[in-house]
Amino acid sequence: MTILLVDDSKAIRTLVARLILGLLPDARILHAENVREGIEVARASRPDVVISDWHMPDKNGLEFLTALRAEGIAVTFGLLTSDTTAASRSAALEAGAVFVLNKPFTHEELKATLRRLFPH
Amino acid sequence: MQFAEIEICQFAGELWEMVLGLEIRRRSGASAILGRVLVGAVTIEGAWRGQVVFECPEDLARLAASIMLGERPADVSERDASDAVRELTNITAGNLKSILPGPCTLGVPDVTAGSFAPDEVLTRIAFDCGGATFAISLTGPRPMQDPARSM
Repeated sequence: MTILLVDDSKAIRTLVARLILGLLPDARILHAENVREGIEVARASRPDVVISDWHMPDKNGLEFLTALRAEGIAVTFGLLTSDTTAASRSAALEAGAVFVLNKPFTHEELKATLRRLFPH
Repeated sequence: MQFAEIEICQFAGELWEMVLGLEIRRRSGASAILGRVLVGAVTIEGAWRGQVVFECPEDLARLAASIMLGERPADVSERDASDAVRELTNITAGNLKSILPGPCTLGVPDVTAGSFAPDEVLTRIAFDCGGATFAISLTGPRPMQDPARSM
């Protein structure tokens, strides 16, 4: 299982990676700090899952998802954000995101989301 | 009462507990922030224009970063401390946006070292975290209506 974390905050990427590895010790975690880098890593490594911040300096998470789809990279995609309206959440889900998790989230909320994605 | 006092206290308490596992409490009285301070700011544009500002002493920023990174505070770099302040500012602003008149958009958070001396403080609330004082402020015009939670 390869999971790509895309967030301009190293602190958030590290925190989320620790939580994932606590649940999925064998997961391979990749990091990218913006959308451009995220697309490059996704092209090269074809992750199973991408977990992305919504607001990043170059593009937003929804644009990132659209770009991945345009490149034919089929990946399970989730968003983390502190800034979402019902409309933007709907837009993300319609574009193919499988979850939009509000920040701050508890460790249990993230684990529950991951368990739903990876029940085994 | 300052604008959105209750909501700011609630958001801040949830954020520090959920992300950092740290308990905070509102400070009454003097709210000077001692030592070197990192100031995170996010601009909000749209139906309401202003800023969300997070003033954090550097030692507390290092503690926050150390928790997020799983490192000892002494091993946290200045860049990582700024990164933690940037992210905490961003999350705080994202949550506060939900109670401000909309539609609004958030800018990219910026962190500087120094003091905070705004022209137009709408709300400023100081908190205590393990003996360290930090503050969250809203700057900008007072909205016509009290906060309306849309969450």
